[in-house]
Amino acid sequence: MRGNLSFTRKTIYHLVLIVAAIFSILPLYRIITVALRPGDKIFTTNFEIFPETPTLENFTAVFSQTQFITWLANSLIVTILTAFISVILSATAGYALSRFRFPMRSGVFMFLMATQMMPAVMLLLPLYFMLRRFGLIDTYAGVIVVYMMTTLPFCIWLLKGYFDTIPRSLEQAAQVDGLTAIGAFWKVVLPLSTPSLAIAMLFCVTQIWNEYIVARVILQTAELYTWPLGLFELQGDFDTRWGMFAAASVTVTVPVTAAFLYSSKWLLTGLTVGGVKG
Amino acid sequence: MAASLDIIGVSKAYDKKRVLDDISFQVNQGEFVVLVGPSGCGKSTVLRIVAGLEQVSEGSVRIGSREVTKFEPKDRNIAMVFQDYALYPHKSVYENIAFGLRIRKFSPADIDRRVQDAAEKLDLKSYLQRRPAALSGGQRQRVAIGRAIVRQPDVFLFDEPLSNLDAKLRGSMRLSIAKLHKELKATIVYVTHDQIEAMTLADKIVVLNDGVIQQMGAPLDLYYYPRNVFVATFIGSPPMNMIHGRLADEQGLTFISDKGLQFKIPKTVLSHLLPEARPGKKVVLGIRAENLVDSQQGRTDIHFTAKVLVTEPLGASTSVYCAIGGHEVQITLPEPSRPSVGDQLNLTWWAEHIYLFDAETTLSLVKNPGS
Repeated sequence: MRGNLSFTRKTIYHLVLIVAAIFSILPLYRIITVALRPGDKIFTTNFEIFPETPTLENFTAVFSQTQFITWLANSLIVTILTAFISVILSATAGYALSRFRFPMRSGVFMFLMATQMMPAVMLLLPLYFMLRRFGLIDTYAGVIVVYMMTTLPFCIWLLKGYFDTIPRSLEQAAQVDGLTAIGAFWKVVLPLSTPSLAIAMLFCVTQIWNEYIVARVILQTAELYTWPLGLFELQGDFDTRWGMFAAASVTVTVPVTAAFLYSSKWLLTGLTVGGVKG
Repeated sequence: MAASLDIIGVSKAYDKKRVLDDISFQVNQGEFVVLVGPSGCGKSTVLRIVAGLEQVSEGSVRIGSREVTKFEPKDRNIAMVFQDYALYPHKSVYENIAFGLRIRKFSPADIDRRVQDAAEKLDLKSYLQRRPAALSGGQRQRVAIGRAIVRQPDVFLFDEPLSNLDAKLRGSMRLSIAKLHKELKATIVYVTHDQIEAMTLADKIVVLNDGVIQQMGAPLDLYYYPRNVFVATFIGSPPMNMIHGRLADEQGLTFISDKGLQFKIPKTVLSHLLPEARPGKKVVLGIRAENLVDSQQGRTDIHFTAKVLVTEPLGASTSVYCAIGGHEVQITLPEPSRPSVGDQLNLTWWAEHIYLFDAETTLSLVKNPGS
């Protein structure tokens, strides 16, 4: 009886999971098949799992007929710079909040957390005026500054939490062994923090790579467009080039997927296991 | 090379709370000094001040001829073994031991020679490529010691290194540390709350309580001549029995306890007492568990009748809680004495080493021939 119940429950779980998987995969499947269809079969309603005559013409078209490479490069520059700067700043800030006692420490931390509650879009208007005053409208620096406003608080919170779990005795042992306090942070704490640094980096990449609204407001020159802005250009008033749109959409998933796969090896938990008495 | 260490008038306060008060002691070159005291007494703070991990509020620290009070830990040429081992979990045993040498830019050949030498001494040769997570507690602590000895520092600091190990391992590690000290002739400051470790390892013990040095001296000096009630109860296992009472003159100096237990202080020990031990004085009498023995073995004429309350057989001896004249005391009877609960025991006090303290100041009223 118990076994039957367990079987029924298992079946229900699996059905729910299968439906959820279909909902997740279907849009991806659709966009891949659209990207591989010839131009005259974009709107076909025939039921086919895979296009009868798959072609890469949409891919070649998006690379040759648009500024897609420039948009991709712009996105890469903005994303990588923001992610690196965010992780460096949040690692040092998170470490300071984790290790040092200073006036208003908890106040600073609470303030950082509070900023998490406000979406960047809400602050866009005042930010726009500030960036204009500093001459940062229509620059990479402008979008990077705004993006960092959203990535930094989360990354600081994440890394501070991780640093809290690293025993101080490890840094102290390193100092006794001959390192400065900064050296101990660099050579002992950071190598032990690779899982959380990788998560922080991935968070930044996924936040920024697809971002549209902030980029729309700050970037005005087509040469500086990130790919979400560029893709929007493919939408015309009377004619949207869906094949190219789909091909571009498939292409932009490659870097972020690669980033995820590459960083997954760093996402090993338990790096600090065994160093100190548990 | 081993160097001497001087702690001179060191005080430490956190937010007006004073945790160390005017601590001064010297560790001679090659000497093994143990700081002992209960949790929170400030012993680890002293060690961390010597390491440079804490700054003094007042006072100074000298290592050899160098004043190092303001030096960073890396510039003090000390090595420290931490209570929780503090091994670098992302590095192999070899790299853990070699870490300090690499930072100090030793040549690869020299590093290898020193690491292999330390591994040999500590029986770690077959674990050198393992990560700390793959080692047992005792092996990890040996790696931590290895990391300290390869550097050949001026002073070794041990912060309760055995407190995380089980009793059996603690015994063998204690022996290893004692052998290592003999072999290296190193200057060692060792912190523990375990008075057995203190007694067995130390050339000199410094007893701390509430941030104040209670007494320092050779282990047996502290055992036989405790300066005050705290040291008397802290050094020795099981703890010394304390009976409150007063001195009276009843055909000789007599001790009368608060509950009426009464006996004459033997003439043989009268000469050991300070002049303050006079009739009328409120005192605390200390009796070590091992000094109350079967009547046949006694050397004085102070006899007690005791009723057994609880027994704890330990194998080689039996720890007995019994009532003597209304006072509950703990005694240790060697085998084959194995009394049962409710038995009456005839005990004699082996009073060659009398422990008598002023009830008000808690200071000893017995002369210390060494002081």
